[in-house]
Amino acid sequence: MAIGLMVFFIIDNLIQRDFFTNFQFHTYLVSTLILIYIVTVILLQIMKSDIIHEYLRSKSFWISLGLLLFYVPFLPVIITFEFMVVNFEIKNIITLFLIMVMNFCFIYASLWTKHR
Amino acid sequence: MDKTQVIYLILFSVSVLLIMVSLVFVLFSVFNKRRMKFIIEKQEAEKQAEIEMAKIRIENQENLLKSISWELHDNIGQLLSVSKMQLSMLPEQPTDLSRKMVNDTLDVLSRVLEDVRSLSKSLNTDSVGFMGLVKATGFEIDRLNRIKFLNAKFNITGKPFPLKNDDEIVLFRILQELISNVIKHAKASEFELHFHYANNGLVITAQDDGIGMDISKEHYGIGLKNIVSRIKFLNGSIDFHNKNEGGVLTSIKYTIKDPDVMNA
Repeated sequence: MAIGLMVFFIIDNLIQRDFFTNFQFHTYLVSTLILIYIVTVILLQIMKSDIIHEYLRSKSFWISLGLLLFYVPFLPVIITFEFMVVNFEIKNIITLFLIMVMNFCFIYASLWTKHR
Repeated sequence: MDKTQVIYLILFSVSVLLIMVSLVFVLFSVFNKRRMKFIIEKQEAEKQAEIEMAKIRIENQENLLKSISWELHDNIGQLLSVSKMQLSMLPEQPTDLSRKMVNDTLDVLSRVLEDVRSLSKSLNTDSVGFMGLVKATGFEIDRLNRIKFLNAKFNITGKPFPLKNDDEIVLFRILQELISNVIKHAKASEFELHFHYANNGLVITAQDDGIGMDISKEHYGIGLKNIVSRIKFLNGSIDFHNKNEGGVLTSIKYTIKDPDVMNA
């Protein structure tokens, strides 16, 4: 999957993107989708395992939740920003908020969950 | 920021928040649902394992009782028979007193033999299966009356029908345990056993006029725990009740799982 993403990145840059001046939108999009897929798989695994009994005390649950809470809402935002002219400050405020939520989940995962 | 940008900000924030809230809601509801299912499955598995354990324990006890029964019948019974035979073959003694003593010993031996045989029968589950629950229980009540420890009565209402063989054996063992408890702890002089055969099962009530018992589950001894685990195995219910006039009233409810068994 990583090699596939790398190949996609090279091709994307060869065809239409300038690596040094532009945001790597297509690569970001594909990698975000891959990440969401992997996180979903992890969540499904948690659901099928014994961890479900105490999933709120599972590290992997909170890390997966943090990643989902950042990347899923951020996906429509980044798509909109790619095609619309919007003040960059708005993007920063939203990103900051999402990062805070994601990091809260990570802090919760490291402080209040069970150690294996 | 101008007005349009503020509107954009509000719009983006609201949509981001909406996505986040719905994501959290969906995730937690799915996880909670799965968690409940997992807990129910776990409880079911534990219940099943408990029933299996009870089954194995009962089977082991039955095997033990069966081997004791064989031992009583084949070994001790034979030895007693031989002793009786040898005593009968004693030559005539000169005095009447000695003859009388031998005859008395022969009587005692005959009674012991009879008791050993009846004990052997009541221990052996094959005989319970062969005779049926009603006959085997009647036999047990007769034995109780014969030892003259207490006055026991047995009556039946409804039309008796055969139950599943294994269940009859378990019910019989429960009754034996109850009777043994009455003999050991109740200090009773009267004991009454009642079978009521209904369409969907059997209700057994046993009552005595003894000193009563502590019916809180924490104080159950091995005997009562055995009874409860056997009842659980049958999917039935048992209820102990201290009577006002003294003594304990025990009621056992057994429901037929498969009505076809009645006709088997």
